[in-house]
Amino acid sequence: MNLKLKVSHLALALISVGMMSAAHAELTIAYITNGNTNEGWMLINGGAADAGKKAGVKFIQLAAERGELSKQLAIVEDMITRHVDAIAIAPVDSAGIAPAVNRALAAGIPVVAVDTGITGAKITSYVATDNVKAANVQGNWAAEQIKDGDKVIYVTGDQGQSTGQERKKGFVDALKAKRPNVKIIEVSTAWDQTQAQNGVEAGLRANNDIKLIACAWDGGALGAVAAMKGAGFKPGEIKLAGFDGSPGGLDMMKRGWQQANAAQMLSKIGQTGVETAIAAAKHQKVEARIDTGAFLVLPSNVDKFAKDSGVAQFMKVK
Amino acid sequence: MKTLVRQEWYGAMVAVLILGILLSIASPYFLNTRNLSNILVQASVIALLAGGQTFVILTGGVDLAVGSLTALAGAVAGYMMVQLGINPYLSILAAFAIGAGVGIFNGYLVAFVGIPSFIVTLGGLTLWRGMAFDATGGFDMAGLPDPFPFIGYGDLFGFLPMPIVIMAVFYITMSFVLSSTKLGRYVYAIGSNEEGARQVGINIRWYKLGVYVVSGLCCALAAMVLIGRMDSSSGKIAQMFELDAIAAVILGGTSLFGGRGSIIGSLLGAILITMIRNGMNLMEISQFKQMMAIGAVVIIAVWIDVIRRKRLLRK
Repeated sequence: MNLKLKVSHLALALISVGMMSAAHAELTIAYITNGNTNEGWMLINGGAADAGKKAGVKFIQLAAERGELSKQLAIVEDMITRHVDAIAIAPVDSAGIAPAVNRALAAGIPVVAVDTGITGAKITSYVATDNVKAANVQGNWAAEQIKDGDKVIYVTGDQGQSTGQERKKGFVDALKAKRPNVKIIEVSTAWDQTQAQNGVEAGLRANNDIKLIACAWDGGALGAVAAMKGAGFKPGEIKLAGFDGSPGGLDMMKRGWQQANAAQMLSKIGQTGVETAIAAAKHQKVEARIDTGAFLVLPSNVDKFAKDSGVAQFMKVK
Repeated sequence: MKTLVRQEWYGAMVAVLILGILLSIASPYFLNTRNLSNILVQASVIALLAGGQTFVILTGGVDLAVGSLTALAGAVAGYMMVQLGINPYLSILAAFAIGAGVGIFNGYLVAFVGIPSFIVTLGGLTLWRGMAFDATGGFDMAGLPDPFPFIGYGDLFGFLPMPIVIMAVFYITMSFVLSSTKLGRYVYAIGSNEEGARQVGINIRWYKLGVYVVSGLCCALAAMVLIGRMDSSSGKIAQMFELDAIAAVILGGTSLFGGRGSIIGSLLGAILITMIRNGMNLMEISQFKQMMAIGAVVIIAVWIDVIRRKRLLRK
């Protein structure tokens, strides 16, 4: 009878969530995210969900628990079993997800990579900001703010993901092109804000002449702001360049901590990703690489950008 | 002897069957060869870790660092193969050497120095993970050479996926070791009454050290299957796998207090956890609810274990 207790809990947990019947003629689209819960991703996921709703398809959204690759592999395999019509996925690991993606493609399911690329598989389409171009914009702006030979801190993203690699490359290349003798102090993170904060704190303590901090994503910039506050700096003493155009990032700009932001069209990434997946499911031809564009947000145009991109609704500083 | 075994893993078996029936009703995608095969393959890594963990828990200890050790073994092997171009079989050997080495380290501290296993392996959790990142420079190694694609995705006889074969051979071997060898019986003896075992002349310290070596070797084996499945390796793999491994052991009927349990139960526990995840994926339930469900099931299983133990003592 103790067994019955265990089992009836399981029964309750599962059956109460739903007995689904599979009889639809409508398309089923699976959108698999990478488990990140920062604001940038909430906007991307929101755009994706909106696109799913508008298109009137059966929209399944699942996330890789704790950003763990093997769990994301399992989800892809389960979606193949589920016979979905297309998969839009933001991979946890650009190379590691390839085996499962290849199986999906072999099963006739188109796969669209959203925001982060996939290597080792011939995916149907890759929808993302051209990270290198956007990071170039960030690097160019940074070069204008400093003199050659100055010290800057760059907070990276996960170098195991194409997004992390491309943003670093774009920033560093553009900066070094104009300021070849710049000293870049690298804070290496896996898109973790706490790692960013700790790294920037250490950098500020070890060097008292940092002129500028640039981050691969706005979460990192938030960490950098916390580090600057902790070290006693005032807004604007050290210039800060963010990336993403997320609500948190633009709030920082309005408060004077951030002077530039290479903004992605986040909501558009999710939306276009899902729309492309739906088109592929309908056997329409889609482009192999879709650039959703980037925009250099400055204090002079932040209000307009926030309104146009839909980010304004999430911001705390209006 | 047979009735005892029936008692330990019987509960887990019934849970698996009933959950299977419920999921077949709840989702039309559940009950087919492909999905069931997927479940076994997806469960294999945790099942291998749970096997080693069973030995440790039976002696009344716990190994919290299995995820990190798996990462270390897998990351080093991957680095050796992809970045240094070393022969893959030598790299596999290196992975097992790492597993055994860390196992000896853990076992020595627990059995000879007397530090609680919880502490030693808790420290190990960060120590081995850090080492895994450090040794590989934090980079991913993708595109592993043979035999890894075969380990991850190959079939035996054309239809049995390799991870399932490895898992089956492992469990048959370990089950034999636990039930019919000296190591096995002494492990149970130490777990149920350590002082008593010492007094009848069992060399407690060596056997306690031994179970950590077993756990370490299992981590290496699990790492080989894991990186085979992912066709890549890095220091990031196997995060928090220890929680799933321990949960599988507990769900399988092995007592956290040691001395009582079965390894087949751990296999069933691993399958149960994977079925919950798979079922929830097929029914499109979010990651967060999946985490809640598994956590709740583990708490209930331990609760039952404690009640059972009280009843046994009262008799």
